[in-house]
Amino acid sequence: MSADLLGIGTSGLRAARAALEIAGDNVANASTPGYARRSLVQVTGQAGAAMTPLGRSLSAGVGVDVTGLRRISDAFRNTDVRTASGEAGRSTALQDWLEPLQSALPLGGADIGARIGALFDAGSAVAADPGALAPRTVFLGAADSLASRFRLAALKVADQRAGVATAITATAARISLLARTLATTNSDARRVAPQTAEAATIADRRDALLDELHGLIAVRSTVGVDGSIDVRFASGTALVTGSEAASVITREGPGGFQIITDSYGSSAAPQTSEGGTLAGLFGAARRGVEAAQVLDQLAASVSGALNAAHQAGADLDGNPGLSMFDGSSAATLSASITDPRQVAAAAPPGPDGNQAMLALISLRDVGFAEIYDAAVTTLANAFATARQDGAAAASAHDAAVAARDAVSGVNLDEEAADILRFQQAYQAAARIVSTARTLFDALFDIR
Amino acid sequence: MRVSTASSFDRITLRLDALQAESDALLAQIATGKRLVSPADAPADAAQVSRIARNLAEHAQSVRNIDTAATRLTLGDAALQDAGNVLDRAREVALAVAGDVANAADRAGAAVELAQLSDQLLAAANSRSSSGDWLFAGARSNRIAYVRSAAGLVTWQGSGLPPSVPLGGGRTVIAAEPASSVFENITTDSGTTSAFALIDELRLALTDASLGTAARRTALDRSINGLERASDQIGNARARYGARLAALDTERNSLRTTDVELTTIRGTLEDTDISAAAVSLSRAQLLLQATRDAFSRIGSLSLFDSLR
Repeated sequence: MSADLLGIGTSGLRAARAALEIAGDNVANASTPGYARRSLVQVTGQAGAAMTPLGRSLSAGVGVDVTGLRRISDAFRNTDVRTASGEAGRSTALQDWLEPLQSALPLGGADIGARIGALFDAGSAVAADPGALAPRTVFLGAADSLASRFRLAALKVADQRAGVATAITATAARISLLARTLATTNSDARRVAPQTAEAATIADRRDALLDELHGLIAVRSTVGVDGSIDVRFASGTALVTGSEAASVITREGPGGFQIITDSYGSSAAPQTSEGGTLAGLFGAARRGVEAAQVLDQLAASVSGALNAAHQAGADLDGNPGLSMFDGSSAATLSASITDPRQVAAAAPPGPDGNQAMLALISLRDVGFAEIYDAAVTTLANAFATARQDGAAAASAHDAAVAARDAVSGVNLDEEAADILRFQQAYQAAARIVSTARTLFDALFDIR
Repeated sequence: MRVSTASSFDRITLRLDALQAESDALLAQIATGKRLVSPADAPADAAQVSRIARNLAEHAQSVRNIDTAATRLTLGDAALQDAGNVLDRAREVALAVAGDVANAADRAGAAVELAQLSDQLLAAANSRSSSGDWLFAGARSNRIAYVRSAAGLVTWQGSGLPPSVPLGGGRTVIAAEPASSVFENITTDSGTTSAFALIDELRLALTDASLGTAARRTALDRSINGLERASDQIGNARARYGARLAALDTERNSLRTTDVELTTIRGTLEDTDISAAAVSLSRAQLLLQATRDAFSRIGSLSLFDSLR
């Protein structure tokens, strides 16, 4: 009987110690991504089981059995967090990459629209005093400044596009890496026994990987009974299944960027992803292409119209007007006249009068500056929407994380209380062991 | 509800970040005085602001053009005043020697003065603008308007109308009268002539010794009559200059009124409402301080402190 008491005490010591270790683990990992708090799974020791060679009692219990540990995690709330992080990832990436585009195409100050207006204003000054050289010099300066603003904007847009393209490649590479790591985790999960510390560690790692993956690309993931996960695109094509992982690459086509899951070929159908960083980057890339097109079209129509109007005039020396601008794209636009005498203000044959310049400045009514305004307003609207979406997605993500952490997160006060509890349990179990020893001693002292 | 320690810290951090960002944005709005930092803050307003900025720049150029035109008209008017004075003086000179008491010496002296007056008239007709072009040369404003030939004949070198000055919105003004309606085409009883020809004829009538008294008298009367017509024509031209200057003043004032309105609209669109922003800023700072205090209070509370 007293031997049983020793066994009971020992099992209590073991259980309390294991519980303390788990509480310690929980405290240590309180802010580790993917970590879900653990608790001890313990059952009443089986009565009648032989515990010592000295005997057993059928009337008393036989202590506690530790059967393993439980990882406290709610699959539904995990899915919520991942869906929310996909939307947050998309809007954050879109916002981050629309910002440089917006600064490439500003409104107000010395923007392209203002410089188009300034060129017409300078033309008006030439028309007011066609014989004077000073207004002509200002006019040529305005043309040069407009061209250089176009080049600067084109350069900044090109920078944004290059930046987005790099980010897309890096994100695709990261997705491929995550997929491969998840496949490895799947193999590991099959190998280990459930309800062990090792299984919980693998699950932590898997959850951290899945959280990151869902922030990057919109996929569906399901966890199998063996703890292995299956990740698929909306089309059903697998990204991770068992220990197999597809690699993700991206390709820029006429309709924008595409996701291809097979690095070897164009044979694989492109996949779609409505959420995640990658979708946000694709959106920002589309805006970059649009901005470049708008700039190029505007540069071509401004230079085309002004060149034609200028060539229809005659300069101060009676020569026919030259082209005002060289280059037909925003990046290559440059002012081609430097001699103020060559400003063709007069109607042919010249050199007197200002009819040609009056015709040129009437091109203001074509509304080039308004075309620029409209393009920038469209972009600004997209940026404003992305910012609002971003704020909404961030708070949705925060709420989903809070809901998940309410289940899986570590509360240090709770752990402190547990530690106190298990410490006392350990002390009580130790007292039982020492009592059992006293009982033995009493027996041995009988003479 | 269970709250994990990490997420309660995260939440406070997010709140602090948000309040800090709000304070910074408000501070920037107050410091710059501008509500619109990025077009995305209010896309439609930003587009309107830049349209107004272009309108204001266009109006500023229109005002400069109005000033250019007004300067030309003022200079032209001054030249015409000189020309009018010359013609009036020529008429006085003619009247002084038209009487029977004038002798050959008087007429010779008058002829000398008339030669000077003709030079003065030529100088007035060749007046130049502040940028150096000839006010009465018509379209060919880069070249001298009137040239006296070796034979003493003054002829107009210009052609057509002077360039019209754009005033914005497709409106233009011609900042001079064409020479044809100023110094030329003066209608007299014996056809049309120029102001220069009138003085020349007068001088000839005074210096031509072969003329008899009666014939000279007729010629002088004709000249005096012609000079009066010339003086009238220049007076009429000056009246038209005055009307144009008045119209330019009206145009300038109307642009200024419009600009005041546009500036007001732009202000309401892009300027910070300083008092509202200041109130929001102190609210945000108060919340920031309170959150920090609460954070340090909550952060210092832990059951682990009680474990011994």
